[in-house]
Amino acid sequence: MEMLAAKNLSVTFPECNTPVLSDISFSVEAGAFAILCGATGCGKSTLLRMCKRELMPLCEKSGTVTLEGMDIAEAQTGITAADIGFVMQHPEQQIVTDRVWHELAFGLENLGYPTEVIRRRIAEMAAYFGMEEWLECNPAELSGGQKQLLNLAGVMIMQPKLLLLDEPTSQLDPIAAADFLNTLQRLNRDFSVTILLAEHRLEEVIPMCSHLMIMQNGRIERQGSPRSILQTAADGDMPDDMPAAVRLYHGLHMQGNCPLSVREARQQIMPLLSFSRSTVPEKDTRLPNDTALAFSDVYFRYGRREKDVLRHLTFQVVQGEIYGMIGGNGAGKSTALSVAAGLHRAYAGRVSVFGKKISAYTSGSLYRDCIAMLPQDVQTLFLYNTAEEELSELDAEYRETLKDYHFDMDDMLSQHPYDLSGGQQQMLALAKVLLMKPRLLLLDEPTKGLDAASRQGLGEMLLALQKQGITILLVTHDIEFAAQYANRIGFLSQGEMISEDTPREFFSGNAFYTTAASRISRGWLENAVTIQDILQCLPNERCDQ
Amino acid sequence: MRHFQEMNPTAVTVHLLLTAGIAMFSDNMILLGFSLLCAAAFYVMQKGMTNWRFHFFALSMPLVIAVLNPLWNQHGTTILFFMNQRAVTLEAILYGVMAGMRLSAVLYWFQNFTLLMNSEKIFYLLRCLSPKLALVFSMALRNISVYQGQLKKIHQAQKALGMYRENHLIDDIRISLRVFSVLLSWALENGIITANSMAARGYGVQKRSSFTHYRWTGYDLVLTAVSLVMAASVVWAAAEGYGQWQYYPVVVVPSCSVMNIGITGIYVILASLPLIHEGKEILTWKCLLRKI
Repeated sequence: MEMLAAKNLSVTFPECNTPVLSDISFSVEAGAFAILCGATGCGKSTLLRMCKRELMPLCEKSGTVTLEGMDIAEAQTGITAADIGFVMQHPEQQIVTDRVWHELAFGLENLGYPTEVIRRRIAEMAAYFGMEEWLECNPAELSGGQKQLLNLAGVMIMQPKLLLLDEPTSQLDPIAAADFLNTLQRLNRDFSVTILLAEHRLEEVIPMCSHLMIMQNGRIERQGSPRSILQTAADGDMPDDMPAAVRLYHGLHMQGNCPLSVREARQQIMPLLSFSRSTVPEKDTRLPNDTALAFSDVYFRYGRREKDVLRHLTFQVVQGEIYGMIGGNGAGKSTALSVAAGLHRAYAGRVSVFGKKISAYTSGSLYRDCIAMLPQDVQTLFLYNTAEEELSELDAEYRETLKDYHFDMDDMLSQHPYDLSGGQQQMLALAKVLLMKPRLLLLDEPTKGLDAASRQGLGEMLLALQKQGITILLVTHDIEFAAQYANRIGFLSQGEMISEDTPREFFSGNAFYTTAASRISRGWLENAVTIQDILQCLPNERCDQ
Repeated sequence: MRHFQEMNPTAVTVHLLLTAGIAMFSDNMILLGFSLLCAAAFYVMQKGMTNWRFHFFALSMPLVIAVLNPLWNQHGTTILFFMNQRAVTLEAILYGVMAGMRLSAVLYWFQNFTLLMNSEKIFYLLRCLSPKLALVFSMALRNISVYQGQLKKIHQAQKALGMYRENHLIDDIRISLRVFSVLLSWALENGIITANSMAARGYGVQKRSSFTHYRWTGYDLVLTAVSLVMAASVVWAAAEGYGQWQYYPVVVVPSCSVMNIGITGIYVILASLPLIHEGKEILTWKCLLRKI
């Protein structure tokens, strides 16, 4: 049975010449787990919003979207509100009220359900999602992952037939994201809720889905079962963020069944390969021995009666390197960064920046030609109406200052910072902090919410900055990104530095906390951490990259 | 075991407001004395023998006002002595004692009210009065905590831009203005997401219902009905002129008629309902324990 379908849907925004969506036709069966993927700006969000009447943008539209054969534009309002659930990207801003139970009740109250029904549904939802303990909480006390689960529960309580999700995990850390996706899978499997998920982090979701749609420039280029699509796709029309197994399959130009998960890649591909060597040569990067940032025995806590967030933290960032600091949630990564930026003061231990104690930098001299910090939420930096004003505020000659870094931002200068895409906002914020001419750049989760192309752009920018002699301390959950761009990795756990090494040594030493490529090649290769590494170890005639 | 404070907030509020309300307008010293006694006993029962400063403050009221009232008030006929050529009368002192007891009793009742209520319960009362206002209130409370968090983030990000000196008054003001301005545009931009989330869940589709945690049990209904009936009969009797004390020009205590005593008696039962309830619960609990 068909749940959601679109026929020849084209959408043009007012005052735009080119359509956002052109001639889109698709059909999602009842009970399907469908995934919509594609680069940022290809029209994923618009397409999802066209399927939810309450959120349809103001536009010129032709063609139809139907829910169970009924045109959405003509359906009764109460029906579309309840039957189609919609979860958006930002966990925080979707929450309306100040109590978890009230948030759950909100949708049902809107539809005028009586108290007894609402009471039962809340109890049901709380039991299913395991949130009885926080029913009385203020949502502000919850973690990002819990907030997003609350948003999902607040929608599921209306018992929708179709669930639309617009990049719901992009703001979550990997553990919370996996948790959220597992919940989705459970809802799909146990209740046959039809799911349409727009996503660009595909490593986990591709093996779950039953229907894959790849979008490009407002069109659906390919759709069907994931295996058949990924098998036949040419390199060109594949998004860059496919699972490692798929990228390996394509890197090898193989025929036959395409593996989707690490397990399948280990079973189907690795036994067929004969490697010419079992270790990847370590890149020789010599760095000067001068330290840019040194923590020795640093302790920090937020309040007198609270627990230590940083304990006995000792590490050094050498001048000219990219240092990746990774670790789980609440390991103290962001706190360590704000201590390094002088925003919090350690109660014991010594923090020195370029050989000088951090407290010796007085009246803001720490931030002039020395340290700059890119916060996790880059919107906290934006103040003006255009990107150009943001930059010229700090340095009227900003073009001159930035010319060595090759920022590609001519087309965004006239736009409002909030209208830029996540990747562009990140670039603008980075440009802004670079105007302070830092020698040490601190980055807090710079890849959060970015798609593969923007991540790659950012990574290349970091390498360019490194060439200019800027030292970079990068705090991230994104181990693939750290593996690819960092010179050294430090692993923080419960406020302590557990181990420090080069990415290759570090990730090949870990069995769980490591990259997909390392998990695929374990047992065959000793220290491969990216797909490129695996391809490098093959005899030359098979290696194309 | 169900404590008085676990009863339906409306029932509790109705009872406390009626009891305190009658005390507020009564000039019957015996009635006020019992009111004060019940309120203070319930307060001690709830909080234990702590908060001495409040007890001292509240219980010294009759004394303080008894001393102060004659200084301004020259009414009354029984002159005790002269002070600065002004007559100090017995009636004025007695009236002061009565006013002090009234104030003290009302203070205790409201202190009990804050003990029994919390923000959640007050919010429930608001929902009963106006669900729309309650929703706005709830959203505002949520936004306060969200904005506080964002404010902190913005402040740190802007501070790390290094445009301002530390410990410099003018720069402190400038950075605050800047942070506020960033927060404002952030709030406006992100408010749209909240609005979308509300629309997506059917806000404005039809008349909303209003969900609350609290239930009405038979016991709550009985408490409310009994409170209302008792308070109504006390008010009716008072309006008819029963149980009224007169202070000026001479103190006239009402006669020992059935009505005059009855009005005080009914009020005493009303005021001691919370005590009776708690006492009953404690007894039941003890009986149950003995059976084990």
